[in-house]
Amino acid sequence: MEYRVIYTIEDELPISEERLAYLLADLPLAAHLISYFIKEPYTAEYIDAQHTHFKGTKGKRLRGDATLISGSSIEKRLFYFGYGVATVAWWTLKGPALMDFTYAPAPGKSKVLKYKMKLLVFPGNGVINGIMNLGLFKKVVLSKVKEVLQDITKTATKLAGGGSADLLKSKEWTPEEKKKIEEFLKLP
Amino acid sequence: MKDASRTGRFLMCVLVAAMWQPILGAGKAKPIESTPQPAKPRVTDSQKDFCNLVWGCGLPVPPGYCPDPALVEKPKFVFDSTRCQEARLLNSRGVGPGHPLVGFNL
Repeated sequence: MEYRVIYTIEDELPISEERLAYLLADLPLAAHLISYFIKEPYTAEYIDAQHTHFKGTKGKRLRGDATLISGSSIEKRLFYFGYGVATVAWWTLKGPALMDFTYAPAPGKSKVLKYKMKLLVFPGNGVINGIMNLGLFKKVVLSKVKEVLQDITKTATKLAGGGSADLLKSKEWTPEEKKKIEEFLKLP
Repeated sequence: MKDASRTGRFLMCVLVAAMWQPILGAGKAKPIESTPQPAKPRVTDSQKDFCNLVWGCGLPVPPGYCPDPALVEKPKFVFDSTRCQEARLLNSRGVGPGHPLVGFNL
């Protein structure tokens, strides 16, 4: 509690509110879609019946588990609290983190959302706090978080651009997943 | 034979003496003990952090979670509005210090 570092990202996502809400409500499907289109191994798995607690990975450099503790897509604000392990440059960092994610339609732009992601981490000691507050380090962390959001963006773009045709023929997807994707594509 | 008998008697004396010692010891008057003081509660580091946060940010303390503030080491920093921002925000949204997932686990 003595040390805290905040990483904030504000940007836009070219996806409709309805489609983002659908992906946020089914993170394993979202992770599978990103892995399929971006060829970056993402995984997500719910570990409770309510689908609020999940564990996930992004390649070998990021893993963790998190719980949706407050908010919803209806409110367009979600709070996740979790524990993560991230390899950033030469450091492997682990510890609790709180994410506050808000989004809203971008003014004057159709199917574009502006978002703000605030990530609060609690370094265990002064040395790690010093490292995590370094401008260079912050830049690396922010680029890693942005990478995830860009992967979501690219996936959404590929899906919207007709990328689902091959997907629906592929044996990589279960009939249940295909049904969900068809539902997803019906959304504005 | 005489030697054996002497040795036997000596061993018997040692045995009797050994047996008596605890009895004599038990019979000694006990020193007067002072009035027992209540044991200091054991406060873990994470509990200390938690309690200082809820006290410092003015959040409701779940019953039984924190000892008397006088028994907890104070932090070297101040819980100002910036440091309390997220905790207060979550508390206002119903995610308080007693939350089963996010709150402190005793």
